[in-house]
Amino acid sequence: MTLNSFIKKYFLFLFFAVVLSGLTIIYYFYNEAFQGYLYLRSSSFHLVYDHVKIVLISSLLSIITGIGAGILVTRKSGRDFLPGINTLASFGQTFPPVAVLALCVPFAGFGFKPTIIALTLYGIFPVLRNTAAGLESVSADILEAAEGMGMNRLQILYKIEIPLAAGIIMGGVRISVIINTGTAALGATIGAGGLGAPIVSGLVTENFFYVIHGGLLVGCLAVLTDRLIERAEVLISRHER
Amino acid sequence: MIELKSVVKKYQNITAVNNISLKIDKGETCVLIGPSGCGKSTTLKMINKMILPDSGDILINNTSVNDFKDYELRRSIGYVIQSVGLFPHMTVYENIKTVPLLLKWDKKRMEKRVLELLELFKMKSSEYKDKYPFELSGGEAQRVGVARALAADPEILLMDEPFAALDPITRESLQLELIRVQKVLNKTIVFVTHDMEEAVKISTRVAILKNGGLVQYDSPEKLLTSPRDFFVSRFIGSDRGLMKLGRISVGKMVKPAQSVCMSENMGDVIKKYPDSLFLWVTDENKRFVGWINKYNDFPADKKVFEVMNEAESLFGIESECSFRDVLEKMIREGVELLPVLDSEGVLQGQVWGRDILRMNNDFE
Repeated sequence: MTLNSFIKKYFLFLFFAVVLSGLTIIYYFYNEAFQGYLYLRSSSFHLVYDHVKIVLISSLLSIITGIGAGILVTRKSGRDFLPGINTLASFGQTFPPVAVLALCVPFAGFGFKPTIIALTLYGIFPVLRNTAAGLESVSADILEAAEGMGMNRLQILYKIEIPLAAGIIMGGVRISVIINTGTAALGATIGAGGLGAPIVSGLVTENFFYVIHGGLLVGCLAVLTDRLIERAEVLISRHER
Repeated sequence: MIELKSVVKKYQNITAVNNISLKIDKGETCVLIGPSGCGKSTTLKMINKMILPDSGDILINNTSVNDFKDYELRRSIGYVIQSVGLFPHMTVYENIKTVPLLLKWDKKRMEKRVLELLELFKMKSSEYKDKYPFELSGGEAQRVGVARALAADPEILLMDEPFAALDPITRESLQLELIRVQKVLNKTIVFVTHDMEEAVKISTRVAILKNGGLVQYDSPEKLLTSPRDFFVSRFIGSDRGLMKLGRISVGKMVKPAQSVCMSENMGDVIKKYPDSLFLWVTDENKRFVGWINKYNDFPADKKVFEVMNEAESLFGIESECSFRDVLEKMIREGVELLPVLDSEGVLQGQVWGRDILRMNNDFE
C-alpha cells in the first residue's frame, strides 16, 4: 500500500488523531494562550476517553439486552410478545433522548450512572427491532432444510439463524451505537462528563468556540464509529450478492 | 425397509392423509404422486418426523420412528426439498458437510467425503468447493442439495419435488443424473412429484394418491398398462403409450446393419450388394458418415463419398436411448430407419420404426 492510498483510506482516522493530539498538547503546554478559544478545563483526550467509556458500556448493555430479547420474541414460546415489542420500540424511538435522561435522574441521581441507564434504554430498541426483523427474515425453506438435516433448535439458532440475520442485526447495532455516541453528549447536562461538557459549558457561557470544540470531536467520533461498524457489516454479509 | 401402517393425519377438519399403508423395499425408488393437496408431501414428511401422524405407525427397518430421537432419525435420512434450501452463508463445501459435522466426523473424513460427492455429481471440486450458493445456477444448486443429503451416506433419501422449480432441460439432466447416481449407490428413495413423466422416468414403484388416500401402488409399467380406475388413467394422461416407450431402451431391437466404406468404388459396391436398396456409409474407422439408397444406377466409376447423402453423427442414436427418443427422432427426421452408434460414432446396427411399434404391442 502506497502512502497516498493509506492516507486516503484512513483519512478520517488520521484527521481525528491529529486534531485530538493537537488539542491535548495545547491543553498541557499552551493552556494560557488558548484560554477562551478552546475548552481547557480538562484535556481533550480525557473528554474523548470519558465519552467512549459511556458509549461503550451503554452500547454493550443495549446490544446484549436487545439481541437477547430479539431472540426471545422470535421463538415459538415468545412470539406472542412480538407485536407488543414492535409497538414499544416505535414508541421508544419517538421519545426524545433528553426526556429519557431527565426521567432517570429522580431515581438514579446525577452523574455517570443515570446516563448509562438512559443510553442503554434508548439504545436497546434499534438492536431489538433489527434482531427480530433479521431472525424473521430467514426463509422458511432454509429452516426446514436445517431441521430436516437433524439440527436441534439451538443449532439452528447459532448455525443458521444468527449468521443469516447478522447483517441486519449489525445494522441495528450501528444505529444504536451512533445514536448513543450523539446522545451521550447530553449526559454532560447531568454531570456525566465526556464531549458534552464543552458543548454544555459553551451554551451556558455563550462561548461559541467551546460548542465547536465539543461538536467537532463528537461528530468525528460518530462518523468514525459508523465506518468501523460498517466495515464489520460488510465482512459478515460477504455471502450476499 | 420403510413401512407405513394405516397412517392418518388430520388438520382441523381436513384429512390430509387418510389411512395410508405402504411398503417400500430397499433399493426402490418409490414415487408418491397425485394432484396438489393429495397428501403426498405430508406423507413424505412423516417419514422423518417433520410432521407427526395422528394415528398409525411408520417403521424403518422394522423399528418405529417413534423409537428414534427426532434429530438422530433425521441425521440418518437424506432430505432434499424443492427450494433446495442451501444455507446461503456457507460455501458449497460447508453446506455438504452439514450432517457429517453434526455427527462429529473427523475433519479428514469430511473433506474426503465432500470431494467424493462433488466428483459423483461431476462438479470440479476446485471450481465449486468454495463458491457460495448465490454463485450457483439452479441446477448446480440442486446437485449440491442432493450431495448434501447424501453426505453422511444415509440408507434412505427423501426428496420433496426436488426438480419442480428447474427449467425443463436442467430438470431432465438432473433426472438422468439421479438415475445414474442411484445405480451406483442403491439407496431407498422416496420421491414426491406431480409430474407423471418424471415419475415414470425415475421410479421403480409409483404410489398414486388422491384426497389423502392411496389409489394405486404398482410398478410404472403395470400402472401404465393397467390403471386401476378412471382417476388414475386420467391422471397418467393420454400419452401413456408414449410414456411406457420412455422406459424401454432400444438395445434389444438393434438389428445388424449393412455398411460400406466411403472410399470404395461404386462398381464394387453394386457387385457386393446387388439386391439391397439401402446401405449405410462409414469412414475407414467404421464411423458413421451417411448413406446411399437406390444406388444400382449410380455411375460405377465414382467413389462412394461422391454420391452418398451426408449426415451428421447426431442423426444416429445410442443403444441406451429409449424407444420414445427413437420414435421422436424418426418423426422429426421423417425416416423410419435410424443407425445405432456407440459413443465414438462407430456404427453398431440399425433400428426400424415398425419393429418398435410391434414390440410395444407385445408389452400390452
